[in-house]
Amino acid sequence: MKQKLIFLLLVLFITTTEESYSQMAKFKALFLYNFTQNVEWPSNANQNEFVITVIGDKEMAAELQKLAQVKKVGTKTIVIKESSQIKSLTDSHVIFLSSGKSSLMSMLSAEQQENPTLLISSKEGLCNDGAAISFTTVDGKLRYEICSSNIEKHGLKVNTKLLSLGIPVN
Amino acid sequence: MNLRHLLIILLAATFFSHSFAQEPTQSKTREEVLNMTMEEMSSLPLEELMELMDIVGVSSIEELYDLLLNKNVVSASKKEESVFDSPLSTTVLSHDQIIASGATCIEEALRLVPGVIVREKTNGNYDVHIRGNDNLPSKNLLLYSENMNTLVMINGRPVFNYSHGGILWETLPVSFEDIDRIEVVRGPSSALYGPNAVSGAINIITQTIDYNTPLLSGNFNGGSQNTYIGDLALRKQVSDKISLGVTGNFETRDRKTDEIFIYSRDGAQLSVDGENVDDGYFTLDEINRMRSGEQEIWPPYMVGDEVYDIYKSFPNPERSKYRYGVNGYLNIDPTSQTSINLMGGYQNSEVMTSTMGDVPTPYSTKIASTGYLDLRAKIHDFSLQANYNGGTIDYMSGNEGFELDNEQYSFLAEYNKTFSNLSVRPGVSYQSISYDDSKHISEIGKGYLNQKQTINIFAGSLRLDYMPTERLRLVAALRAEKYNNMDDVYASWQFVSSYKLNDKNLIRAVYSRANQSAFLVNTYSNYTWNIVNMEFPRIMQFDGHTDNKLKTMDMVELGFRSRPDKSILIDVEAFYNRSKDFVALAPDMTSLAVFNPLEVIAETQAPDINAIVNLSFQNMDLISNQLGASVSVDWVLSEKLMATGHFTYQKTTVDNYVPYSRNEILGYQATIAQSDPDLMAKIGQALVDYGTGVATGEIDPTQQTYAVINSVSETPEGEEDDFEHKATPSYWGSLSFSYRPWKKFEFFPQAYFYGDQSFTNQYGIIDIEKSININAKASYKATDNLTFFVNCRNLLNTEKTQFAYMDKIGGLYLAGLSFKW
Repeated sequence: MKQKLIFLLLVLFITTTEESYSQMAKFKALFLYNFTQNVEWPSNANQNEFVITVIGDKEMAAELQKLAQVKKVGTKTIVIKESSQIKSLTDSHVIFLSSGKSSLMSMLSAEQQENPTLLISSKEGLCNDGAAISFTTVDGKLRYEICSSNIEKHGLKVNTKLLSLGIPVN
Repeated sequence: MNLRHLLIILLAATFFSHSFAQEPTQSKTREEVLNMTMEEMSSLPLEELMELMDIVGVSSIEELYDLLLNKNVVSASKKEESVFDSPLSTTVLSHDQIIASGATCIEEALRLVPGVIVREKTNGNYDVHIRGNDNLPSKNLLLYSENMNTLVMINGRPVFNYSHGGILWETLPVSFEDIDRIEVVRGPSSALYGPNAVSGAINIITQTIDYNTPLLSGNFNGGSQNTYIGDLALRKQVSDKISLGVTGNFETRDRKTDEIFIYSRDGAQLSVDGENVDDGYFTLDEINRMRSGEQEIWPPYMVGDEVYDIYKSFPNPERSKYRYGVNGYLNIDPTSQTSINLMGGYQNSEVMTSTMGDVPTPYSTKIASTGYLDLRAKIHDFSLQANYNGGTIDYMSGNEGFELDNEQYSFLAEYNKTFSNLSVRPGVSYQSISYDDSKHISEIGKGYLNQKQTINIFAGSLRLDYMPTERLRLVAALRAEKYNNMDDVYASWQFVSSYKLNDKNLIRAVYSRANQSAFLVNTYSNYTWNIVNMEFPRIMQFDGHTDNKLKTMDMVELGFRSRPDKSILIDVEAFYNRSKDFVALAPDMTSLAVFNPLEVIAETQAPDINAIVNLSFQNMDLISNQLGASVSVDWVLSEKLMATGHFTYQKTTVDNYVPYSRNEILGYQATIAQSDPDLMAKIGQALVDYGTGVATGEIDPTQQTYAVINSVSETPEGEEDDFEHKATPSYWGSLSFSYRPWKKFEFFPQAYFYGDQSFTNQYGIIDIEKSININAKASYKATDNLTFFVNCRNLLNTEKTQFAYMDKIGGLYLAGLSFKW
């Protein structure tokens, strides 16, 4: 009887909200799209389409796909690619690295050092490993850490608005 | 402070909180935002999108994932990384987690950490050991129950007692308002942090001051046993380049009694006013009149103009803890690649806890007054840290020779270079640690150092972190140390490999070695104790050795970390470690002597024969072997419920175990000396030699008042192997829940439990029963800025002893508030 009671209590407590999961991914995708509006890629970047590669996060990739259906970056069509590894990722304008792959950021940064690519991490604190932007939460609010030098060393230009709205990281 | 004052403070805080609280002014409701289409939202500028996100808010469950399951850690690799990826056994306690748990001090918060056993000695004073291995060697001083195996740091600055070895928790100047997180690394870590990180390292990381930091924040607890604990912080980022702050904290707690325990040492009959009594708890007045056999148990004596008596030893026997600390912070970021952090502070403390010496009671009063200055700088890939700790610590108030001034200087320079998949971190460090008792003793010879003595440590280190593939990580950390008093160079290392089976599962293996540092008492002791409260022996001479080997631990560890679902994190670690080269106080020799040689030569008195004992801090043959495993689970069950639990099982056996106490060995030696068939002839010869020496001027009878008859250095045989060491319980752990039925209310119950233990020191064996300690904190968030709470520690008021000879720990019932503006 006691065991049943405990089980019932657990069932009562466990009210997992799928909505909560998707809201975070949805807003991260919206933020990411907005970042692209505030960063300028050099003329030698992929001219045909705007490629966003998502490493290790299916949920994020799905939200970005929804965006890609309704939005463009400039005149370019947005193409979402998924990958489970960091090697051989060419022609990406943006690479988004999931939390589970965060240990690979320094390797990813080295792999992409010659490319005009905006590196974004889902996990905070990765600007020191080469991320241009790291998502974080502050007092229950979604925010982002931003490192201007990590953006500029890939040949990208960032406007002051994006810098001022983020948490600057040296 | 009485209840009425407390209520006034609570009401006033509520009023001001409501007055200053700001309500959100956004025009859209959460539902309206959630109903917006992707296309609508994607057309908004970033600042408006951020406002909408703020209305929706990061869901509670996402916050819980971040708080509990997605933490970052710095201490395991000296770089920020996910706890999941940490190559070592690592736990991070966040500020919010600590506050939610209701822990009343740092030591108590460590009950949330897997593998850490925490036992309360007196109200607010704790024994903390990572994985146990405590009280080794046993059958010796209570000093060896202190944790000499764990290096505690504040932002990487060692806060360690190099005098005797151990951690003086009450002298930590910081408190919860200062702390961002506590990082605990289990397993030998000297290669990363230097000596004394033998069983692990605890790094207390202070908060970063930025534009999000509240200008004023604090918390206050008050309740039973006159317990009042408070914290206040005033911090501000004044410009993009400069931030500063000042914090203060205080804590005062009472015991439930003002009596202290007196043991009957070696069976001597205790008596008060002529009436025989058993060992037990007595008032100071009773102890002042107490005898052990024929001797006064606590005779007063003069040190200069001051009387050293039981009342000086225990100035506040009803109080268990009193401390306060202040800290100042200044952070400057002159360029984007340079940061300078300066931190300084002061603390004052007085605690009643277990003794570090050999007195008729297991209690002592420790009084400390210390300050520090810590400079950390980062210039591109270089990091530098230089700091000073200093002050005065009286380890046993009212006992001459235990009050010491100390100065510790540390310098560390490291360079970190990352090449794609390889990170290289060379470093050099220097530590100079000085203790000086000469200003606190009446004459040279009354202290155990009798002068300023110094230990210098120069070290070089190298850490390589290599990822040959995206899944495989190999780490090698090496360190070599040179001491000023030993020829040997001490090497410590960590070799780690981890392999990510996939994003959700990681396996790892560690082989590591770490060593203690030299301690001042082990190295430089030179103390003569003329005993006045025991019949035997008459003199004890304590000496240190500059060539003692340093205790080392080797460990092999296998770990498995799994994230089967985004809501759960499971961490399993199995470890085997072997420790050797323990250093402890042990008998060298017992000599019989005539203590009235001139009177015997003059034939005015019969010979007064007693013993002189020579002891030294020496290496033991003892080897400790520990096999164990810890499992921890962090589980976010829902937005309302979060569970964390950990369980450790271990078995420790010792080889070359000496089943005799110091006094049993001395008794053995004395028996041999007294059984000497030539004893009478040797007494005569000793007197002749003494008389001749005095006559020729070779002996000054005012300095050497005795004539040595014979000496014995043999020790009893019978060392045992594979002896089960029971001072560490075979199991311990914790289970806690955070339950938030409503957004403003949080209930945090915790059960901390451990198994039976058997603690042995030189005066007896104390069995500690298995126990469960139930704690609970209920918090109500009145506004975003103000939270009220009630907090019960040991809710069931079990009144059990958690640590040998120390107080029975009852319930502690507190109420309070925390605020931020």
